[in-house]
Amino acid sequence: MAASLRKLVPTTFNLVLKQVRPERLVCSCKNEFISLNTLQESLVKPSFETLSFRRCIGTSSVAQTEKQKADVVKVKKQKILESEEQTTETMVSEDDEEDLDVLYKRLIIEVKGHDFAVLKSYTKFVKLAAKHLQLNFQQCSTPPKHIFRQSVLKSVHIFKKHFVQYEQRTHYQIYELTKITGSTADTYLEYIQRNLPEGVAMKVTKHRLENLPDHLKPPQNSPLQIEHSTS
Amino acid sequence: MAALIPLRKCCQTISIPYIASRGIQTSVILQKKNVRAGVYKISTKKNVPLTYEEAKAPYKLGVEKSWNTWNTTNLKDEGRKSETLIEDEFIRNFMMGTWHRMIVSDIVIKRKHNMINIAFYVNRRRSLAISKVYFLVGYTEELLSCLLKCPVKLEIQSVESDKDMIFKYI
Repeated sequence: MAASLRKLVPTTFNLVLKQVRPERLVCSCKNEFISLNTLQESLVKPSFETLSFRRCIGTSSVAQTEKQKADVVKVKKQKILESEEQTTETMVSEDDEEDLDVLYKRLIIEVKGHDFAVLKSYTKFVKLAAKHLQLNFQQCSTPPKHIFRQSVLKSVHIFKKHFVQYEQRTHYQIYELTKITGSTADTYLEYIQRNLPEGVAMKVTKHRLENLPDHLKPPQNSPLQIEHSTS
Repeated sequence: MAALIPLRKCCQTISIPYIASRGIQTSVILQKKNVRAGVYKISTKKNVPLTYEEAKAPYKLGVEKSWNTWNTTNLKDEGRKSETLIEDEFIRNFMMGTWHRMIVSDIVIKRKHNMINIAFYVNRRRSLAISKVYFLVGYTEELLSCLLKCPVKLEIQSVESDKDMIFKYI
């Protein structure tokens, strides 16, 4: 299933300057990586540095789809922070610009239910699905439960000293997935939601990566100068 | 799902006015004697049959007993309580009328997304013909889907006679 999903995921890569602050990053998902040796023949200037999500400078890694040829590397159309050498070498494939996949930095799934045993077994299922699809299942946290109590008179008439207490318990679980593409997220979420048990509610929060807006420009003579690629 | 569980131990702080100052019984045995809702009285001859649902008291909900409706309306910050409740009541009345004398258990209503699953036990002998059961399944599903505006599915299990549902004699 993971292999067939990979075909759906379009290409992304991250080419960023070394000194860039993480807020300005266009991060990518490490869904497909090819070793540097195979790429060096295809790329003209392979000497670029990549900055991963955790700000550690890893080895150069570029993701490629199966449909594209070796020389073509896909670029996002506006305002990607790139090194100067790269802009001349990269080519943009026109037809794929429209279907550029959304990138999610974090996917937070909050699940609540009355029965904690049900949530526990659902957690197992969610983790297993993420493991099979090779997603970054960051963590699974259990916020404290919420109890709503009502004290009600036991008798219909008089007997104020005797009450009955009823309570409603809501248990929570929060799953966090990091660095996931839009299509993968859609597939995974649909699978998860179709198998949601009855009596369990789910809320999904997606943190999407966006390009920097045009009106924000770094100051002159700074290493963060953006080269506008005229395509 | 009505997740109302009577509190067994009063060790936690209770917001009852003036009761706390009087003192509360905390022992479990004395507590159980005071819970009389949903508990059947033992007969002298011990020949009153009880199904599993009737035999277990309401304080066993969540422990040895499960709920008859499963939905998310009573969770914190979730809505549509009254509409769901009325729909449940309507479904139960409808089922008792359509499947009169054929249902031998409680009617369990489960809600997943916008789908409703209705599960119960049917007495094979009393339904007189299997084709009647099939017809009623289709009729119920179609009619309830139109009335409630969402997909309705029936999950039926059948039982040879009423004696199969008896859990104990009281």
